[in-house]
Amino acid sequence: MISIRKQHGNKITAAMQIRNEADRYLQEVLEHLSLYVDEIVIVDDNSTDASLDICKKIEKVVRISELKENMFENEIDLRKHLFEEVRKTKPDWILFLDADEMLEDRALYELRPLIEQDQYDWVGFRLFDFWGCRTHYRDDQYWKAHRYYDPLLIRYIEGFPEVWREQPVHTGRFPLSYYYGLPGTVSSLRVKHYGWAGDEDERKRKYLRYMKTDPDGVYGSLQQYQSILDPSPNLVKWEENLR
Amino acid sequence: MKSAYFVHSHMSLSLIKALSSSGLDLITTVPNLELFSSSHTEVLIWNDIIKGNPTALYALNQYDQIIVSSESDWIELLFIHPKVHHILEITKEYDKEVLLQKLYQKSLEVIKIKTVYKHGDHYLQHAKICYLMGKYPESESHTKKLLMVPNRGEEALLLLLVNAVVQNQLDKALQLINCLAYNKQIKNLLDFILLEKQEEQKKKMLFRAGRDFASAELVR
Repeated sequence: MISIRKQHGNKITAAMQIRNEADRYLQEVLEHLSLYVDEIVIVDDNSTDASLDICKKIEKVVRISELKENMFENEIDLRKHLFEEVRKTKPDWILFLDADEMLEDRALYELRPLIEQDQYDWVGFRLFDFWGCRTHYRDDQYWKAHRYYDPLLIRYIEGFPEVWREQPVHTGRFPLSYYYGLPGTVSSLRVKHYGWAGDEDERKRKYLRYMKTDPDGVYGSLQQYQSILDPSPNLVKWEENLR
Repeated sequence: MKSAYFVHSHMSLSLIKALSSSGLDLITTVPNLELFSSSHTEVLIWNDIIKGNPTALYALNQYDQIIVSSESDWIELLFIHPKVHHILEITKEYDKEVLLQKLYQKSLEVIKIKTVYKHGDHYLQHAKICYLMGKYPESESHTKKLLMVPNRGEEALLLLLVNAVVQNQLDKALQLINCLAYNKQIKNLLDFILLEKQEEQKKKMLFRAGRDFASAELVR
């Protein structure tokens, strides 16, 4: 065994779960990721569209796990499965992004220095929810993820005690013991989340899914679920922050 | 036999005087308590004691027997020093095992109704009681819950390390030391262990390191 924290030569692997993303942002997201990560691991949650074909054409996609049964309703099992799959590729660092999330362009220059160090084991980023378009993000009392730092990048540590938040939704993307048990830092790099950037029908479908999986607001806020249907939310223009 | 009474919180002055006149030394974390004691008094800092500061441990190691009356102090001190006795052991009301079992039941009831997020100290103490009773898997299970609480990571990892060492799970212990190596002191120790070429010698060093983190004599 050697020391797990290296200052040089770290491999960064992106981990992503997908399901019927072919007509959304998948191709663009994977091509963008390929600019600054070393490898990409995908768990396909039984897609019925061309998502897999898109993934297979991306050179940096080194591993695809194809689920034959839909696990979408069981978020924690899906997240755990993705973690197991990425573990098999022996990553030094894992970047957890969804198929509708992109780091801003300066990640190309600024991500690598975040991992070539031995002081911190996770990095937090602010996530901006684009709303109904790709030019404005939502900012109000229910949509304020961009005011906080969400750990999306972790150093993978073999043998580290992995404890998950055991609940059906909002489980976190990796064992939360990494976040609470190890030192971390934050980055000014921002994440653009396009999950709400689609049209009103798409947002309504997502609202209905939340109401189905968490009707009493046990794992999330009912007011936030309701706010998805807000006809005139407060939107802020996105300013691209170049280097 | 050189004995001392451990005082971690303010007690009545008459009791302090009675204790010191009984010939017992005093070990205390209460500043200026030596002014009221007629016997030899060691004033230590609680955090130095429970974090295994060498000076504090040296002070404790001078005694063949240290007596405490607080249950929680007893657990904390027993975890790092084997010669600590609860006063009910001294008065023969309970032996150590029975007293541990009693505290185990008591703390189990407490953590059943308290969340680890708000009451991490109770979980930590329960994990230590389990450890002291030799219930290592149970100790690990409760300790891991602390890894879901802000700012409890290091103490949880250390307790897991000690559990691994006492169970002779040396590969696991090495991994845990590696996890903890963001701490400069532990990083130096890890570098030292990794420099060792002979596997058997490496295991011995690791075992010794784990013992040092808890208590040299507790982990045999």
